[in-house]
Amino acid sequence: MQAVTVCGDKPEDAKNGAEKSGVDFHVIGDSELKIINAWGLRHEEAVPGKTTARPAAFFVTAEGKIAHSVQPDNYRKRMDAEAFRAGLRKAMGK
Amino acid sequence: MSLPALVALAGTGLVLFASFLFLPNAPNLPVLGAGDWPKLIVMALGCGWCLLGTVQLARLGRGGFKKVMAALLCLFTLGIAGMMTFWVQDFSYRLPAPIEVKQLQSVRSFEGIDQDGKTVSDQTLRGKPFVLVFTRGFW
Repeated sequence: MQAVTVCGDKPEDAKNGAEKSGVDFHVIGDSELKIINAWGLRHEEAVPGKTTARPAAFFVTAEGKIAHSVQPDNYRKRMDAEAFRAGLRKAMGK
Repeated sequence: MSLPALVALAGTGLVLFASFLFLPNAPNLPVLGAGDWPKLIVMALGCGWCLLGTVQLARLGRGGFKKVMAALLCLFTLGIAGMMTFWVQDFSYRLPAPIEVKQLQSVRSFEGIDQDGKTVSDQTLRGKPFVLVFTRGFW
């Protein structure tokens, strides 16, 4: 399973953050908001002076179809491991 | 400076400190996580502490100046508390609505450069399942 995260960070901030956290998935710093705007997930001034993405996760099949999505209405409501596994199973067709 | 005045100032300092702790998390509220309670307690302690100190200061004060300072400190504390309430409410209602996703609709195209300078797009990921996660980012 591949994973990609997109956020409104500048590419260099995304790089530093990814290195500090030691993540092994793709981290895209979309500070120009190209992807975020195209997907309609822009969160204007999420914190003062910073516009970024609203939280959302899309589980995509090998054929490029969205099998499952999670879009919490609050940053605190993060997916737990079981919800994540359920999304993965759907994307993998299991 | 008298002891009550120092106490009042320390209380104001605590309120400011608690406010500072709150700001980066403003979009998370009003759902309070476990980590928010210590901040709330510090905030409440700071408010109470400051008000007690300023009341004491007002009682002890002989001159008009001290009384004015006490009143200003009280107003300042209440002002900070009011501002926090405004900020918390303001940000908690701004999270945009979810986008509409139909079951098994094709993924929208996207392309970006990852932390290693590699181009990542819906096309480069095609052939294996993947999860695309939008986040606030690192800070």
